Amino acid sequence: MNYELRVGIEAHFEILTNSKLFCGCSTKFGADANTQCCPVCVGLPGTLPVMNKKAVELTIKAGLATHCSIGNFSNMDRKNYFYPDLAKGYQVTQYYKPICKNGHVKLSGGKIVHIERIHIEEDVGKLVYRGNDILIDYNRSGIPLLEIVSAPDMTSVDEVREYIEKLIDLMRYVGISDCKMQEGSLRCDVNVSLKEQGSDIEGTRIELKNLNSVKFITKAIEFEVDRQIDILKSGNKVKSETRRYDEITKKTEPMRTKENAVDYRYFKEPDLAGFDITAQEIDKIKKGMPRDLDDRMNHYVNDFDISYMDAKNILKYKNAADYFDEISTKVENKKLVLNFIMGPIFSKLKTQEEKQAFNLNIKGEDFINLCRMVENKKIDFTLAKEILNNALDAKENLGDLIFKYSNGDYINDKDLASLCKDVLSKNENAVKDFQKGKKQSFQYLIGMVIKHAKLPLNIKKVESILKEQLRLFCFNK
Amino acid sequence: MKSMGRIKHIQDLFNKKQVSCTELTNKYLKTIESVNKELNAYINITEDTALKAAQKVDEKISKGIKLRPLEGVPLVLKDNILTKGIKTTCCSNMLKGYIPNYDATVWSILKEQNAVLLGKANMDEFAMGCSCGTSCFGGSKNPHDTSKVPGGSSGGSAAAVSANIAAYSLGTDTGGSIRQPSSFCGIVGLKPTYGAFSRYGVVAFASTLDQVGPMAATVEDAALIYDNLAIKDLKDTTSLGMMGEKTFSNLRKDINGIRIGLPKQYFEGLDEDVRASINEAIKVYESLGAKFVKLDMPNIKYSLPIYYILATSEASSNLARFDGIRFGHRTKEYKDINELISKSREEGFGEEVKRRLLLGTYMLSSRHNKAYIKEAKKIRGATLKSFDDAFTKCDVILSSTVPSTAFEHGFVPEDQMQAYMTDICTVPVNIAGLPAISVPCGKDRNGMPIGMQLIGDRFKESTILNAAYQFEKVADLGILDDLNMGVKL
Repeated sequence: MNYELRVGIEAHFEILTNSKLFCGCSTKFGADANTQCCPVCVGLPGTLPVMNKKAVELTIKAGLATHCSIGNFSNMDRKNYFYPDLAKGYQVTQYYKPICKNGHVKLSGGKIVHIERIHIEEDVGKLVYRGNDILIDYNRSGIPLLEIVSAPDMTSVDEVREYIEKLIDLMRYVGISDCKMQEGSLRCDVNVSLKEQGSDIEGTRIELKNLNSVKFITKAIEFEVDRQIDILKSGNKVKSETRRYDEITKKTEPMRTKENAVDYRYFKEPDLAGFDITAQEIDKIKKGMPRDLDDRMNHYVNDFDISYMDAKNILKYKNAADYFDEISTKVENKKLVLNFIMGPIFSKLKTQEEKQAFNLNIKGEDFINLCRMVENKKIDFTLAKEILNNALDAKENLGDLIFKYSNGDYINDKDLASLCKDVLSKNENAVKDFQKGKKQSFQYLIGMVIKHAKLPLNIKKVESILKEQLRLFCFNK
Repeated sequence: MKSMGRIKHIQDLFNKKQVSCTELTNKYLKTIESVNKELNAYINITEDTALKAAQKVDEKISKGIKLRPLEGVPLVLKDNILTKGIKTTCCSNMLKGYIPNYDATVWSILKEQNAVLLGKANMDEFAMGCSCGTSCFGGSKNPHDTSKVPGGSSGGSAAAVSANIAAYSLGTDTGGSIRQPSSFCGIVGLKPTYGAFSRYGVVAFASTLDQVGPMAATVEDAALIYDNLAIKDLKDTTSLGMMGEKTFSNLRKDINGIRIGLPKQYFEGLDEDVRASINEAIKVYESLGAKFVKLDMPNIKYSLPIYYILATSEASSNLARFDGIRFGHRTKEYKDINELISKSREEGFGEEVKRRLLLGTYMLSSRHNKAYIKEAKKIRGATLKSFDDAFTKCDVILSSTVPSTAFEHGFVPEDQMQAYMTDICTVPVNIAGLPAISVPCGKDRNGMPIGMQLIGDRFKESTILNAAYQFEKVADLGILDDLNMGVKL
């Protein structure tokens, strides 16, 4: 018997607001325990929530980025349960009226993963175990989270991986979350079931709770698949339950079964008025959003002759992609611009944060001039890279460098001719190959001239000199 | 001086230098000391806070600076209104000794005006009860007859204002908790429109029903307090502030031609004396030129069951934060976190609170949600509509506040439903979020006060306060005149 895998994912993203969902406390990561809380987020008696409008706006953005329909009215609900990290005895979330519904995300092969809903909710505090004591840090309590719930559309671990990576790319691209998993910015609950091939009956669903990296998610699913197949093959039934993944034993283990499921007693949060979302508001948000990620990727691939991987990689960093677009409008050779950005520039911007921020110390017009010099074969790419590196290291100003190189020759015709001659005599094999008709040899010889010149060259001039000399070379032999 | 009201009268005494604020405050404090032993209206007396405020007021007076409307007037706050640095217990073992670290918005407005806080008033535990008897500090007593209850849940407030051991009080009203004790104690109690006063810093019972409101000796006092406290609070997004007219300046308007609605459902099951007294009140209004409109509001009979569904379900969630972890009572011995929470709640909450929390939890459960909550919300919508319809035909609705007068301590109703029935007239107002006032309109054969309720359309506080004021002036009943225990002004 063969089984088909079905995976649905509830992804929780911490979103980029400066303050918490219902109070003015900071959301900054890494502060000392219980220094970023107030009566509201600690749930002291008498406190009331005030909705963070920015959080609603970001949720709408997430919906638009994933092609969801945005409800024109939404409100918050209470999810009631007792746990020490849950300050009020209930979590304020959206159960009945999520802001976004019915969207989708497209994977590389054209596969569509449906999004059932996207809603906003507050995070809980954090338990800290110290010896026999359990301490509670409420800094996280009330931090806004976005929950993106997919349909159980994924049928392989690869699809799961790609889906999560795509969500991360999308959230970063639209500016909703920085998706720092190690800081708890992204956590996933994963539903896994196995269906008999050809059968219409869905398999029993188990839920894997609180996975916080793509690696653990795929490992946990792989373990689950093996475990469930063993159960099914031995003729037993998979129990509907919630399980957790142990990172050390690399196994999943049960947390609670369905019979012990908590009745969350959802009801509308009476302390917050519901909120209308008007078409005008949605339009305004839409206008402030970047072009659709998939559209832009296709545009790069189809119109700029850029590879899919390159397009995907530069679009991981929206600011870099914006810069690319800006420069590209003034430069014919788009690939050249891309190579500069993903080569020298990305290697200078070492961290993810630096790449995301994409702060450059060079002027756009200078960069355009540099690209044009390469295009016009005034200098070659290797040298241009070196110039750019110097400028990025702030050793020299890019504008000054370009001015220097674009005004006049740095090697006179006579010296250049003798340099070419020298190169030809030292590379007889290449010359022979060229004479046999191997065109690449000519490029090689140009390269050698450039290498030995150690100065910016007018490549067109080098070409003509070399051609002339190669002709003479023939006669002389 | 009666029609002037206590607040204006007290400020008048200050301005004429007949008494200083400190002298008056000391007089109140001294009287409380003796009278409270009997009444148990105060569960905490805040002498230092009161005298400090009084001193500030006296400084202003000596400098000839004009006092703000509530400045220097001594009051008591119901003990579910948070006072920074001053114990706020909701009269529950769960919060005994709890000192809040911030002020409720309503108190911060008064504090800013140098209002003199004499202390915190006794109440039913977490505002759940109708006699003040569920207080962990023991019940309060009715100044008109100490063998009787002052009503509840704002029973301590009503007793204190009635006996004049506080000039006025702020209570809270979820199903009648301001109006019923006001009626029992012969004072004026206003439940404002839902959203008129901020709920921030008021320990929640049922969020969609709770309102803070004034409890005062006269309509004029209630109007002054309303005008000063109906403010939109950015910390409470359900608050709207004063959406209608100011009330105090509209108190002397002629009510000739006012249309008064009389729903037949409100006149069923009234005690004989209450009925007689209400009929007298109707005659007074007739003499003032009122026109009467007979109303049929069949939805009203569902108000009580849906009130108990909505109020207890919201309460079961609102009171979940009392888990013994961050504040409040924590059990001494426990095996694990579950036991810590359940034992702390078991020990901390009293019987009535537990009864309501269990009821609410049951109603909200996924199995019963549809049968109870969903239906209750439907009926709530229908109730709102029937009031909307009624207010196309009339300006105010008149009824008794309670079908009866104050009952004796320890009175055990035949069944729990009978006890809850005392709320029948007051509850529909909370369901619909309307303003309503209880005004004294007579006494029963035993000398216990009877209250009349006037209900207005949303934010028509000005209309009901003026109608109440005209009645109070013409009827001139002097319900509190026989009480000699409190401060003589």
